[in-house]
Amino acid sequence: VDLHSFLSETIVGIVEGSTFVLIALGFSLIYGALGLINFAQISIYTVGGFTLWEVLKLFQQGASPSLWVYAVGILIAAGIGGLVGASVAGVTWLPLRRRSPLSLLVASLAVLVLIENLLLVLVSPSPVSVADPLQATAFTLAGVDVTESDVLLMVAGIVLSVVTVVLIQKSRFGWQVRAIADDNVSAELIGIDVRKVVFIAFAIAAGLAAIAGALISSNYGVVSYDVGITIGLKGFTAAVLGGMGNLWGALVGGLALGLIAAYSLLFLPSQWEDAVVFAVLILVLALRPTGILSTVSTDRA
Amino acid sequence: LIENPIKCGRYCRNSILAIGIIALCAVPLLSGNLFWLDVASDMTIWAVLAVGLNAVLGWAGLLDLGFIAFFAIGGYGYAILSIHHIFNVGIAVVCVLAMSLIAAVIIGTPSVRVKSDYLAIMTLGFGEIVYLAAKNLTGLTGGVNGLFGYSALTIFGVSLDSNTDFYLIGLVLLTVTCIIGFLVRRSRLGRSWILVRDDELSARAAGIRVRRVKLLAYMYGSVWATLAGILFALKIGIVSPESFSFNQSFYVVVAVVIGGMGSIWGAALGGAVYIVISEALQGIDPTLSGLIYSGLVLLFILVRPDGLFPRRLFERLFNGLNYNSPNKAHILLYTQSFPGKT
Repeated sequence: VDLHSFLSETIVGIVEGSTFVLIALGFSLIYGALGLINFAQISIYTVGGFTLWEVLKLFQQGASPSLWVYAVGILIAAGIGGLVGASVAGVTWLPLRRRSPLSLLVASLAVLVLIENLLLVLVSPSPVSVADPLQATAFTLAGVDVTESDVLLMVAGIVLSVVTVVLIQKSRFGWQVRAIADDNVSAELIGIDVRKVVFIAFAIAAGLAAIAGALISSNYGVVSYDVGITIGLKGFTAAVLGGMGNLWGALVGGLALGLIAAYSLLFLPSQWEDAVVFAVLILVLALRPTGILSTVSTDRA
Repeated sequence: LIENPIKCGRYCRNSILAIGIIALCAVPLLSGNLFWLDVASDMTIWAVLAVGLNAVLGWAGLLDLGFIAFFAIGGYGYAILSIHHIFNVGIAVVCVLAMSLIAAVIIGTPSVRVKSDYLAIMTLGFGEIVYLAAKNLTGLTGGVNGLFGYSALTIFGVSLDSNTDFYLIGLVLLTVTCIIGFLVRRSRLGRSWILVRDDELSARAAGIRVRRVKLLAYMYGSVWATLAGILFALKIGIVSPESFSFNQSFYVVVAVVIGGMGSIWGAALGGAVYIVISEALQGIDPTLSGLIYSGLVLLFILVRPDGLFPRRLFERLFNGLNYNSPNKAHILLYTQSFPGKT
């Protein structure tokens, strides 16, 4: 392993890590707020990708869409994703919140498969190619061409992380979310509208997932109805690696996972990259279930 | 017996039900129709899978999303050992079971230490790793093309390779699965699973070693999935990665949920219903399958958590006359072993 390939894999890893950051954010948010894992989140990623594709198609912007249409497409994706996320909360969390956590988990899994298959039946059974207006190379580092779209991913990952942290730590909404996370019943007693807050939290998390879906799909240039499980599992791994519920966890875990995945390419053929990521997931949960950031062990995991 | 009308009634009903089930199982055999036999053996395989997962998901309350990995280990393990003629088939089956149990311990030990929703993710990751291994270890597993051309099961010089044979083996396996299931459910271990599922804190207080009990559930489930996988490999004659993808893991969960998590009869029925639906969809539009199964799961979870099986009707049929029904006695047993919990 020479220095040059190490450096270039570092760049690749940071770019790939940014995608993990974007996906992990939504998981962290919902887990931090409600202590539950929302599988349906995974499918919102795909919804976001397909929404951007539909918008670009609608405006007849084939190979090189204008930046405005692209931006509008991402915003619409975020909006639709948010709406779908809120409906997911209505179908799973609302009716099942007083039942066992297991049924909630199974229900959110079923919603994941349901949404993916709705996309399969209603939109497209085969992968669709999503155009990317930012294909130009921004700069070249260590022999790796970093495109403008890669830069956008990195910037979006950092900005959205900061926005989420500020939202949770500084805003009134964040204060309510933390109260609910702390003690559901007491939060209700002091007059927090738990339902409303949870719905908004689901919507925000889903909006983040949809933005991730739109950005990453256009960066990869392709989205299909069944990409969710693999990509979602990676995002989840990033969230766990950084520490679930830890607000900076998504950022740190995502970048760390990106680097691990990229460095694994130095030793293994590329078709094993996913297996490496999942092995990291199992190892982290086995050895340090609270993530690499935490200093104290909690009973959360 | 005659003097006790309650007992007599129960025996009558039990024997009527037993005769009914046997008659139902005999239909594909008597028909001699190859297609029906094929579908029926698929039904037994999936029923075994579902009854196996039922112990993990329904009793111990662990959402195992990589259950099909053990099915894959069974299928691939048997195929690999038998292609390379490493052992004769009987020893191969034992070896595959041992391999599967080792895998279950390796994955189960860390999984049962974390919260149950993390367990779902961990097992999902494990399932994906096994799937990727099947796809990418081309030398060992044949890659995407799969493995074929391995030898059939031979018992006492008789080669078991017709649809009738597979169906009969499946029926035997299913019967064994169910009987052991009923025994385990009534054992101390089975009762511990239920308590761990319902209230882990009380379970711990009652002196149950929660992690060990969960690990045993995971291992117990893996045994049946492995055996079902071996039978599947024998029957279908080719093992390829697509038979062991995440969707399949989800479908086993579907079967258990349709059956009403926790019921052996329900799980077996759920496995059979899954095959019926998927066969019916083959004729209509296979792309609808994901939609229909996920819709069914949502519907059952939200509207009818007891599952397809008419449990109330069933209880009335069997225990209606008998106040001290086995179920009630069972609750009594349960409260006695864990005082303070009703």
